[in-house]
Formats: sequence, C-alpha cells, structure tokens
Amino acid sequence: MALSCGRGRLLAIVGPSGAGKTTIIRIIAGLEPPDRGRIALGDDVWMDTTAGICLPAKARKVGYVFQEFTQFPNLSIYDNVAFAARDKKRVEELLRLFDIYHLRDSRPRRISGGEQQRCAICQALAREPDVLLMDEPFSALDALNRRKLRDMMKMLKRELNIPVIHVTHDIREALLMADDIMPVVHGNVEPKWALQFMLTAREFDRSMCKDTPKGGMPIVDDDGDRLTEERSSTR
Amino acid sequence: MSFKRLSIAFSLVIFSVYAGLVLSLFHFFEPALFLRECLSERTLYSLILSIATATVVTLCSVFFALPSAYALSRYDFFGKRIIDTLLELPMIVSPVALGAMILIFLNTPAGRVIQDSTHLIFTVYGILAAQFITTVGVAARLIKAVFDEIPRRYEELSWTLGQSDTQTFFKVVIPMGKQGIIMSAILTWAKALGEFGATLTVAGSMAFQTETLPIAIYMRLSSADIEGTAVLVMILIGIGLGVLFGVRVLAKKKLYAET
Repeated sequence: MALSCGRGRLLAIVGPSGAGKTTIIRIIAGLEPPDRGRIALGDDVWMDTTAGICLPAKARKVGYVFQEFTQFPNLSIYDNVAFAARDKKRVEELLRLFDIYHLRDSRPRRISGGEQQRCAICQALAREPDVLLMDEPFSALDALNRRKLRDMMKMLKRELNIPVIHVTHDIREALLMADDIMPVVHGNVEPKWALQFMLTAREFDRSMCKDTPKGGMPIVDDDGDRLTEERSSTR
Repeated sequence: MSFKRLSIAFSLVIFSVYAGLVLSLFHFFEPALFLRECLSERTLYSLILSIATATVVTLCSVFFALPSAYALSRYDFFGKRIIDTLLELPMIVSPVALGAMILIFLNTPAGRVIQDSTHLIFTVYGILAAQFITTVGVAARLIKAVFDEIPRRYEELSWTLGQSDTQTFFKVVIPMGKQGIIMSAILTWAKALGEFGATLTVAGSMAFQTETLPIAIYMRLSSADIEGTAVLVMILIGIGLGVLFGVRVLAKKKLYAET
C-alpha cells in the first residue's frame, strides 16, 4: 500500500480490529520493521529497504500517541510532558492549552483517562515533531471526552502544520476529523468497505452530519488519489 | 475443611518448622555468653568481614546483572537460551561443588595466571570470588523478573520521544524498576552473607583472615561448642531477619513504580 499526508492535514486510517492500522503507523514510527518499502518525510528518507536505509525510532522526529494510556507512571504530568521537550515554556503552553496545567504535579494514575490522553498528546507535541501519529487515542474515553479532544485536534491540525495520521476503527470519528480517509481491511486498502459502511449506516447520527463539510469527505485509494466524494449524510 | 483453611494450615506447618528451629536456639541461650560472644574480637571480625564482602559482592553482582538481565529480558541473540540456563547454575549446583569448580579452574593454565596475579586461594579475594560466582546468577535472574514486569510500551514511548536505547535504559527502565532492583539487591546481599560452601572451599577458614560468620558457625559446631554456635546463629538470623523485614516493607509497593 501507499499513503501520503500533507502538512496541516489529517489522514484517518480506518478499519476493523486486526486490519493492520496500528502496524502501519508503528512502521512509520520505526517501532516495527516492514518486509519492504519506503518511508520519507519530504526529502528525508527514513526507511528504504531497497537502499538499505532504516533510521531508528529515536531519529525519526515523530510524535506518537499510544492507544493505551502511556505516560511514565513514576513521573509527574509536568515531567512526562517535559521528558523530551527542549523548551520548557512550550511545556507550560501545552499544559495550559489542553487544560491540564492544574494537574502538573499529579501522577498519571491519579488523573482521569481523558486527562491522561491529553497529557499524552502534550507529551507527543512537546518534542515539536515533524509528524504526529495517533493510535486510536480516544477509543477508551467516554463520549464527552472524545468530543472535546476531537474538537481540539480539529482546531490544532492546521496550527501544527504537520502531517497528522490518526488511526481509528470509528468511521464517524474519521469523518468528523479527517481531511482524507484510508480504509484498511486485512492489511489492504479497501475503499469499498468505507463506502458500503456509509451507504448502509442507517444509525449514522444526523447531528454529526452538521459537523461534516459540504460535499462530503474524500476517500483515498492506495495510491493516495481521491476515489470519490460521497455525501456523509444519510438524508 | 475449606481450601482456604487447608492452605493456611500448610503455611503454618512450614512456619512451625522454622519457628521451632529458631526457638530451639534459646534452649542454649545464656545472656552473659551472648554478650561475651557478640563483643569478642573474633566474632566482630567475622561479622565485619561477612558484611563487607557481602556488600562489595552485591555491588559487583548488581553491576553485571543489570545489563545482562535487560539483554535476557528484551533481546533475542545467539546463545541466549544457554546463558539463561547457566544462570540457574548456582541454584542447581551445591555451593561446595561451585567452590570445587573454582579450585579446579585455578589449576588450569588460564586459572594459574589469574591465581598468580590475584592470589584468590585462602585469601579475602577468594571470599569475594566465591560469593560473586554464587550470587551473580541469582541477581541476574531476580532483576530479569523485574524487567519482564515492565511493559515494553514505555520503552517504545521513550524511543518515539527521541531517546536512545542507553538513555531509555537509564531514564525509563531503571527508575521504573527501582523498587524491584533494590529488593533484588537486598536478597543478593542476604545470599552472599550466608554463603558458606564455596567460600570455605576457596578461601578456607583461617580465624582473623577468611573466617566469615557462616564459617565461624561451622568451626564452633565442629569443636562441639553448642552455646557459641547458637550465639553466632542468632546474630546471623538477626541480621537476616532485619534485612528480610526491609524487603517486606519494600514488597508492599509493586516491582515497578506505578505511583
């Protein structure tokens, strides 16, 4: 498969459990080696099996938000966010932006799931990454926290001006947040899966349709080309 | 009888065995003799020698065990299974046999070079060598169990935050495993303190030279000095139980920090 994501855009990789979504972003992050392939950020080649290039994870300037609440349990929220930050001022800015500054001295175990995920996003952004990878970051949260963080990411993606790749099994979430969607099933791009889901999803909440842009959401195929623009509304 | 009561009964049987042995020491307890033995030069020398060698050996064992345990916990490499199996050697081979193996090695060409430069046999260095060989495998095994408990995702998080493997080891893995590593070090120290067979074989039992506390107990028993033996055993148990109490306090927290 091939995927691409431009600066200031959010690509949602959508698919059922076991589709290979997490594997894709783990390969991008350098946490898993692919059999073959090429990963590049602009002119910087991170991995090219043909040329024998494979930068380790630490050398790829990614921000990675894990699915499980993953902060260092022995560090405070402030120390977690500041772990890889070069600018301490940025740490405080992020904590205030995500409304967890008041929790800076707390340990991760003492705060809620939503607050932990906000901490995780701050931690990833504190490093000023060139790419932000998010692995189902909202899946373990309640509906209210999911909505809050979704809105925040929609607001931030343009400000960050970096590619954001968001993995989710929830196509509604993808429709609400993403500029592009790449449906993946059994390790392959399957645009028809997403189309079928949208066309037959009677339970699609009309209130969510109000948040989707006019003209629907573009769905990309495995060449990164837009396949079709489908109305996401079931009206 | 419910399973709960039956299992508690079994634990009480084990407790009774050890409690009985400890209480039997008081049958030969005489306060004046106890005080005289505690303050005797020979006993104090044995005590200080045992504590000092156990401490040095523990530091060395943990130094080697930390990276070794991490490699065995995290990496796949050629010979890993053999190394993992050989770590069990101090537990499956009697300490006397280990001591004999050290002596046999020191009589090989390579061993003679080491003996000529370090003079291990019948010296304090021999005590250190014997205790190190009997404890380093145990330390590695204990610390490996600590590292196995730490989820790999914390290291992955560290890598995605730009930290190298070395930085991740010192800034993430060791702090998270701190409690468990300290417990492992304490248990290694207790094992070194009580080491007898290999130490006696390699370093001998010369008073005021290589006579550690466990060896002093054996020498008193060999000369049928039951009262003196009981006193030294009480001292050793006192130190050991004090250490174990500290382990129990630490064991209330998890092996890796989650608070």
